[in-house]
Parts: sequence; structure tokens; C-alpha cells
Amino acid sequence: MIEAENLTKMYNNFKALDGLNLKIEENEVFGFLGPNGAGKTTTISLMMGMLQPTSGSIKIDGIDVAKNPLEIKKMCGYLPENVGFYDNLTAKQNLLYFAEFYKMSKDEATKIIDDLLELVGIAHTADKKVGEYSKGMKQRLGLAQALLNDPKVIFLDEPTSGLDPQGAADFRKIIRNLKKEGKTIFFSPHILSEVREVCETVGIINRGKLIAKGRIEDFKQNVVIVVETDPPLDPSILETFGNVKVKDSQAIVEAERDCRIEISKTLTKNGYTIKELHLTEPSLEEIYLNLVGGGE
Amino acid sequence: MLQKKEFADQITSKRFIAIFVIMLLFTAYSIHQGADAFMRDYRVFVQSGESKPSIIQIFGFLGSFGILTFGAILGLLMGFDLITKEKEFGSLKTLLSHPVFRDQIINGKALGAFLALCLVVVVTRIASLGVLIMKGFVPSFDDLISIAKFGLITLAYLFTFFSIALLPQQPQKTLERLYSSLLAYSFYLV
Repeated sequence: MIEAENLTKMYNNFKALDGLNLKIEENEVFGFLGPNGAGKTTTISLMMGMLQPTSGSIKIDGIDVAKNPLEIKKMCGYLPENVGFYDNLTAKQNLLYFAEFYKMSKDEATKIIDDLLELVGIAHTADKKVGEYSKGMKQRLGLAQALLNDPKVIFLDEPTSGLDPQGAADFRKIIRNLKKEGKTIFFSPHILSEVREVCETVGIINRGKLIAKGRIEDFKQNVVIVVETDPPLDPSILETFGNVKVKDSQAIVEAERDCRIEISKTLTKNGYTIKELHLTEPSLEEIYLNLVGGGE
Repeated sequence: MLQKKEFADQITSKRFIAIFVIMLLFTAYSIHQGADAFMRDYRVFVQSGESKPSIIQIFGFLGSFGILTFGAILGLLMGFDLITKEKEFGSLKTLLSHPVFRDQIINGKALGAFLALCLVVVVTRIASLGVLIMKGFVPSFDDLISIAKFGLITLAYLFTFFSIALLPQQPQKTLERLYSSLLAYSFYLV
């Protein structure tokens, strides 16, 4: 659905993106991670046709973004970071204004807008001026705005920042429902735990370069199994499962997969009583910090 | 739709209304005086048949001074934060994520402001004609043409100041060229 090839963007002498290659399939929920200033927003702006790349190209649904930005905008929705509206207009008037850029009648637009405001949970304040809105409410309105044209591809730049926990949960639910409707979602999360909840694939960008991409499962590196027995364990009998280290009375096995059942069987066969046997997986955060730290 | 919104935003903004009211009061007062002077001269013309006084006289010194100062202020105030305001509030980015070109936005805004300026000129012209008719002078067709010409020049003057204010907010070179040529043309008219 989205194909970026060798994407480079220079701001004066600063290389915001450096030969980025990225491919996102249709109906994929893609989480785009990276430290501040890594080039996430730049990438999204380029994909939305709001910026011109210095070199390289992007195709969305086979359409070249730089050549046909208007076509792209017709089929994509974008919730920018710190989304802004016209403060002197109400939420509904703001959306009606944006709806004028699509070919829809006023009645049609009104119906769509009412439904969207209901979906994002601000229908009760639809006739209030946006100037009186809180940040979280603006964010909700921003999502409604991004879905106005029933887009095929949706770009969400830190969509849950400024939302209360309930709001963030609502957003994640909406994202999951959009996925069920067959949308492709490009999502730059505010907090890492969201990635695990909504995304299928993840890309990590640092200093304008994609340093890792894959399914979330693929990111899980070796698991660590902690074993404690009575009497204290002779580590050599677990060496078939992986690298074994002894720490105090515990043995720590670094294995490629969860092999607690086999370990348990081996230990019982050798006459050990198991006091503790548990698995620790590295969190996405650890993986992320590892990768981003390693990229420096 | 861009120009419709811009027009509505302009004429409902407090800034616009405040300056417009001052301008209108200024014009009304000076036209009242100018019309008196004009009627005097006109009576002399009818009696003696000497040179016909120009209808533009009714706008008087104060009227043209009012346009000169407040008109310029109005033009500048209408334009100076047209784009930067949208940038600051983030609405420009939201707007640009919908199918619209950057230059369409700027042109739409310029057109909307231009229409608001037209409104200013038309209203002040109608007010002046009203004062004149109230004083018992029915302008001839030629007089109306003169007033219309004066109106067009006023419009060009106001739009010049609007363009000056809008100009530094244009990042794109083609638009800069377009507006500087408009600007040059307006100066030529003035």
C-alpha cells in the first residue's frame, strides 16, 4: 500500500531523512518508533504530500505522492501532532469547512460529521467553539477530521498525546475497528506500550534511517528462564537448552524459546525439586532502547 | 470556499470592525463638510457657468486623509498575520492535509480580503452619495463615473497595503513574483 524508496529529505544542511526504505502492506497497522527528531513527522509529511522529498519517491496505492499530492490527500487521512483548528468556529463548523474540499453534499457531510463526532465521543460539545476545547478534546476532533473522507490510509502522529487514559483506550479501540474495516494505518505512538496493543508491524527510525522493521513477534529476542531448585542446581545439566549463568542460588538460562516444560522434565528426572521456574521476556522498551542505543 | 471563509472571518473580526467604524465616521464627517463646500462651488457654477467643480471634492481633505491613514492601517492589519496565524494555531497543517494546494489557500485568502476591502469601499461610497442626495444634489452619470474611479483607486491603495503585509509570509517564489507584480501594478495605479 505504501512504498517509500530511498527517501531523503534535507533541511538546509540537516539530513532529516537519509535513504529511508519502507514498505507497508494493505490493511497493516504499522507502528513507527523513534526518538524525538528522528524523522517521524517528516516521513509522514512526505507521505501526505505536504513536503517534497529531496530525493527518492513514495507511492501510495500505486500513486506517486510527489506528482499527485491532491489524489493522495483525497484517499488519506492525517491527524497531525498538536492538531490545530479555527478557534472562532465550532467543532462542527470546522469539520464542515474541511468537508467542503471533498465532493460531498452538505447533507451528506452533516451526516458523516455527526457520526464521526459520536465516534470520537465529542458529539455533546459539537456546537461549542473549538477555542474553548481542551487539548484532549481537540485531539478527538483531530481524529474525526482525519476520518472525514473515509480514507484508505490513515496517518496518526502521536494520536494519544494529551488524552486521558479513557480517551487513549477509546482511540486504540477505534484504531482496531478501523483495521477491521480494512484500513491501512500508519501510527507513530506516544507511548511504547500502545504499540503492542494495536500494531502488527513495527519500524524503528533513528537519525533519519530505518534501523529495524518487522512483525512484533520477530523483535522478541532470546528469552531468559530463571531456575531455582533444591538442592542447588548443577548448571551443566541445563546447558543443552542454552547459555547458563549462575547467580546466587539461581541459574539463568538464555534460551531461544520458552522451554520451561523440557527444563522441568529434566530437573525432575535428575531428582531436583523445583522452587522457582519462570520466564522473562525482554519488553519492547528494552528492545527499542537496545536498538536505538546501538544505532548511535 | 476559502475566499468565502476568509471574507466572513475578516468582516466579523473585531479589528476589522473597529477600523471600519472609525473610517466610516471619519468619512461621514468629512463628506458632510466636503459636500457643503461642493454645493457652494456648484451653485457658483450654475450661476456663472464657470468651471464645473469636481464631484471628488465631496470627499474633502479629511476623507482622503482618512483613507490614506486608516485605510493603510486597515490593509496592513488585515494581511499581516493571515498565514502566520494559521501556522501558529496549527490549522494550516490540518487544512493542508485535505485536498487543497498551498497557493489556492493564499489566493483564496487574498480574494476574501479583497472582497472585504470592496465592501469597505462600496459602503463608504454609498454613504457619501447618500449624504449628497440628502443635501439635495443629484449626481449626473459623469459624476457617478468619477466616484467609481475614485473608488477603484482607493481599492487599489487598500489592497496594496494588504499585499505589503501578506508578502513576507509567502515562502514560494512564484507567488512572491505574482504578488510583487500586483504590488507594482497597484503602485502604478495609485
